[in-house]
Amino acid sequence: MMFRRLLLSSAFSLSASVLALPDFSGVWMLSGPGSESEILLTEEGRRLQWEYDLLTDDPSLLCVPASVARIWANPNSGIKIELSDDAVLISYELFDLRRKIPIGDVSVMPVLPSTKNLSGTAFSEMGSSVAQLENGRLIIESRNHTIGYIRTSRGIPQSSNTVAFEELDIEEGVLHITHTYIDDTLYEKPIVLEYVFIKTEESDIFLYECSDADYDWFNKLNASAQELN
Amino acid sequence: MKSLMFLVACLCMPFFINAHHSTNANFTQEIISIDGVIERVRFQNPHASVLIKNTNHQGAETFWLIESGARTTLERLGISLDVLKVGSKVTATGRKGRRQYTMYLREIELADGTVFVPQPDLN
Repeated sequence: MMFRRLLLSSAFSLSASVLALPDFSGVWMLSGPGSESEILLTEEGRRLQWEYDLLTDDPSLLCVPASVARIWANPNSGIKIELSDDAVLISYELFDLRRKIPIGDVSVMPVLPSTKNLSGTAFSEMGSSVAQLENGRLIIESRNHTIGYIRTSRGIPQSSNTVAFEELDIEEGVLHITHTYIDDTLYEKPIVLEYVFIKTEESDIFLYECSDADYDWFNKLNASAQELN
Repeated sequence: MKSLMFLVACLCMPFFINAHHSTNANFTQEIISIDGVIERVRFQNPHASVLIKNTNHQGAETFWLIESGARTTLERLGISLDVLKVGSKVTATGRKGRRQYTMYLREIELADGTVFVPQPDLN
């Protein structure tokens, strides 16, 4: 009897904590360009940035997510959030990514990447993540990244040392996300990125079915044409 | 008021560009026009595109890849590329790409003078 009461009580407090949360669920769309803190790279960070060629090295060209921050920051692309008692599922329209994040402390941090596409390919560029609910905010911590780029346009890198936090907060129906990237091998100080999202009336995201955007076929076509010219 | 609206539109413009790969980084601000014959139309993600064969005065041929927004972005706008027929003569105008012979499409003028603008927010 005592055990049942205890069980009911914990179930109630868990439900109450979830119920007290703002409604993160739904399909969201990026609104506005967002903002970023000053980015100061270390020597190693500058070396990786210098080696990066956006025309050939952007992972997006192969339908691969460059980083968590890059995937959130894609305009005109739906992002669906589903929150349950023990996990958060974030479905990104871009590249058909599905990111399943357990709720708990770092002890439940998975070793394997938390993100896969619909074909089942896992993406370590997105790291392994765990989520916590704190004061009405959803906080996601990610580690175990492989090399990626938090800014593909400028080649701002991430590494296996990078720890990323996403803080999701809702104010007046608008979703605010603050990304904090910490990596003392690459950044002189943490990089903070802020984005705003508006909830759409869509109930689900579109199927993306990404095709590699490689330009080899096109370059070969022109090379052949020039041989004939 | 009009100038204020224009300023706001200009400030917002780069954001509205759909950017699977960063459009502002992959394309310059230089506006160019290319005429030619449509060889291929692809309505897909991450970028819808039109392949145009341009023939210069000396008869030399060059292929231009004219990229647009993602299929899903265009679908949300209710836009399809059905008006662009393989074999038809067109003039494409848009931002010159950093890759040789590429462009980010603003508008295509068809042979009958009709102008097709897939993403009016960009103009």
